[in-house]
Amino acid sequence: MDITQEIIKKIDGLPGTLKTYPIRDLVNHAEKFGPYLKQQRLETNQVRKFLDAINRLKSVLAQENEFSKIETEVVLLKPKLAYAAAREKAAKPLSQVMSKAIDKVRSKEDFERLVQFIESIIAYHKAEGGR
Amino acid sequence: MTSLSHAQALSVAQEAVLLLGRWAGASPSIPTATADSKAVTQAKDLLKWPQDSRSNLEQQVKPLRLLFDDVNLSNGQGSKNHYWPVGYIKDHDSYPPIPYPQPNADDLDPIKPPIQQAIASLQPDEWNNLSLLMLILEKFGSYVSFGEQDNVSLLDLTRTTAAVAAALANQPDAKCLTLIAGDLSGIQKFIYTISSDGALKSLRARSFYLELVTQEVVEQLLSALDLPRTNVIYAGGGNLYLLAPGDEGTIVQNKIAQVRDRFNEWLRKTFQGKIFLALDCLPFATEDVGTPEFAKAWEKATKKLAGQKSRKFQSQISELVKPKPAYEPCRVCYRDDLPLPSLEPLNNQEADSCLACWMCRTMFDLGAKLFKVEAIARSKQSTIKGAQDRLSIGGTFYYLFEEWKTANAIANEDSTLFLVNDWTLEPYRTGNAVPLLLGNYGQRCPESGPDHAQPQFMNAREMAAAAQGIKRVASLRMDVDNLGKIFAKGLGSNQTLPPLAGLSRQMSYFFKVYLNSLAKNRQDNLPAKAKTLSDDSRQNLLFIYAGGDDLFVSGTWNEVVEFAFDIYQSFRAYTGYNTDITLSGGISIDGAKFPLYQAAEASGDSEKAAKNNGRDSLGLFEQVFKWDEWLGSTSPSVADSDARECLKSAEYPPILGIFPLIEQLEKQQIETNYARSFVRSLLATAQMQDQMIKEMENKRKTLIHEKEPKQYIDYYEKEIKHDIRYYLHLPRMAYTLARLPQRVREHPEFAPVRKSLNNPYNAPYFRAIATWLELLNRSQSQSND
Ligand SMILES: [Zn+2]
Repeated sequence: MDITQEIIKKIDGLPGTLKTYPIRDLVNHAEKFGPYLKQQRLETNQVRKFLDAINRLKSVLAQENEFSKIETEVVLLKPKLAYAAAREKAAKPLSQVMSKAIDKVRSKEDFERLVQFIESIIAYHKAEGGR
Repeated sequence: MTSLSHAQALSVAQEAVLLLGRWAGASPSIPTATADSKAVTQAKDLLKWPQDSRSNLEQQVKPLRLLFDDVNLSNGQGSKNHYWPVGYIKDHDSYPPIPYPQPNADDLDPIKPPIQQAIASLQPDEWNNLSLLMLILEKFGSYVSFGEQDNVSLLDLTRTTAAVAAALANQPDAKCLTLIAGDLSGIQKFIYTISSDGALKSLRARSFYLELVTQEVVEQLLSALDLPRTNVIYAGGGNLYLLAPGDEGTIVQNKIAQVRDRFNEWLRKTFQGKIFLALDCLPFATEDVGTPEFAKAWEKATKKLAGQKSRKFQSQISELVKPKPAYEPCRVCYRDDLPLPSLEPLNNQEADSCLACWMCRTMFDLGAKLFKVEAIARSKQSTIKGAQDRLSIGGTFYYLFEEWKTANAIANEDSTLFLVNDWTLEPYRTGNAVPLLLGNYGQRCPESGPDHAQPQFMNAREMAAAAQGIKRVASLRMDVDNLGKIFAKGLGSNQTLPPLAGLSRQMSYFFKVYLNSLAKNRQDNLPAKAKTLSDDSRQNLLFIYAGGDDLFVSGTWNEVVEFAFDIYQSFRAYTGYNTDITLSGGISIDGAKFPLYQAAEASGDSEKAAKNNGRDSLGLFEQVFKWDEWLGSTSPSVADSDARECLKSAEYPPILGIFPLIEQLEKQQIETNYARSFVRSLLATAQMQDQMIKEMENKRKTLIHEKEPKQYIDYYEKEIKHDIRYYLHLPRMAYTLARLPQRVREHPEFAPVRKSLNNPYNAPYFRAIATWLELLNRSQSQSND
């Protein structure tokens, strides 16, 4: 099973929402997934809009401290990813994994876990020489 | 004119020296060889002095097995056996090499010739010089065993047998003996609560002065009770234990109370109630000296002191609460009970020196002279010419001399001459000289003043200037873990007087004698396989206090840090790596102008944190870890079972622990610019990690407060806390490492470093590693305070 499928399966099988995705598994997955994305020739500018949106939501949440303020916006992250995946084949695995994860975001803690996940993936991706 | 008790002690010492001499092949004729007195016979019987016929006794001199091997609190040594290497303390050896226990016993023959020579040279009248005989036994008999217990040294068996014989002198059948225990409280305050320039050397003077105060209490007790010095079981750092005769009709008790009250009166006048002498005694059955009951008496006597401390100054309370006028305070110690005219400039060489009381001025002057003090004469006489300086302590005078010869020529019969760390036989041959062991290493100034004035200790500014990286000084405090427990029950059924005396001597030797050696001659004194960060001789240190079981050392920050690791490794090797004998320590790193009393407090807090971390730990860079984690080990020591569970899928890293990773990263010779940005991102990663752990901790508290379901709280505690500590920041670390220049990344030696830093087992150490590197590599321009 390739790493994309492995992560999707894990997220599908979580006992609850995304916050029940153990950080340890999340980091171990990201450690494999980051280099995989690099190998697929993904560059971060290909998912720039998605990353910008994440960062914006992060700062809104830090200010407002209430998940309801960003709830709708979180759902709108998915079309951003789908758009990127349609334009660049290399963005597809990330899009697939992230969409699965976003579906499980229901609360502040879930969103925080989502951010940890994407940041870990990007860090390992860059560590592999990705930009 | 020798009193009866002295005569008993002397005859035991004579016999011990004689048999050591015969063993070594010398056949001196001892002028007063007579049959044992009843007291001596009793003492020998109680402490199991070998009963063989005298001519066979020397066959009982054997290699000394390590007493520390028998200490067992919870872990113990199992069946490990060590021996002290063959050796003795040579003349002129102010820094004797640290002996490290080894698995096999050495052949003792090599030490026979020097022993033979020393003993053959004894003149007839010198056989009556108890302190000379005891010094010979200390030099040559500290690391050989004698008698049925092969872990009791000839010195300790002789000392304690002499002590018991002296205590029984007047009443050989006495059913009871007395253990005297004393403790000076308030020492910390007197030493550390001062603030001034030149504090470093003043602090040192203060701790030295208090050593003499402790000594003076001992002297007064010995003279009040007419006891020889062999009856001092332990004295140092404000603590003392003496063995005295049984107490029929409370005579001993009254004498002790007299000494105590007189001394406390002097302490009150001199230190305004800041220092207090608790002194008490405990009668115990004579036969207990040879059974584990003795340890119980020791513990009880110690506990009795606590009661006295809590009733501190009861007899003087009315004096203390009397309203007194408050004057301008001394700028050094803040005492405000002296009218202004009695305050004078602390340093009359400097125009703008602050006003200080007489005690602070005395300590300041003493600090400057201490470097060269070789001999101290204790005398009741109020003037002795030729001395450098005079201190008045408890109604007696202490004269400081630069050379023992001058002191010896001047001191009269009534005076006692203390010789500082002097193992040469010569000065002990005449007069009444005794050794004074002091942990007293101090680095001199590179140049001693413009006019080549007398040598000085380095001050804080010079220490900071000598630092690698950031220009800072550090304060280190350390002490032995569970010392009270070790003394109360560490030796189990072996807990009798001679081994206890041995234990206490060997502990205090480490801090008073061998620590000097380790500081002065680093390479010669590190145990084999010691881990070191640099080959530097790291001599820019100043001992403020070292003795008993603890120490306070100041110096150049990176050298103090290295010294702490050296001490720990040396101490563990010295105690045979017994897992029940460990040290905890704390280090505070500060600017040269930071008040030393605050640094003392900060390093004390750091040490406390180390104790709270289950002991055997070091607090450094505001982090606390087990020494094993700092020094690095091959297998991780993860105590928390949930954390272990969390880590079970991870591989062990090739390099584990803070120290070895610092060593490897320093080896990589990363270019300054890269190194700086690497350290910066490492630090940022570590800070985020700390922040996150703190947030989660708060969240958990909120959840508990809001009475959320236990399941949910447990989830936070287990999953998140451990995952965050060990895993969350690994991606950032990977990224940070990836940004190092290709040359570094692709170097074959870097692969294990990279792998290790990306490993969860090392994740808790990110901040310590980052901070350490940051301080080591901080360039001068960045490090203005
Ligand atoms: Zn003062």
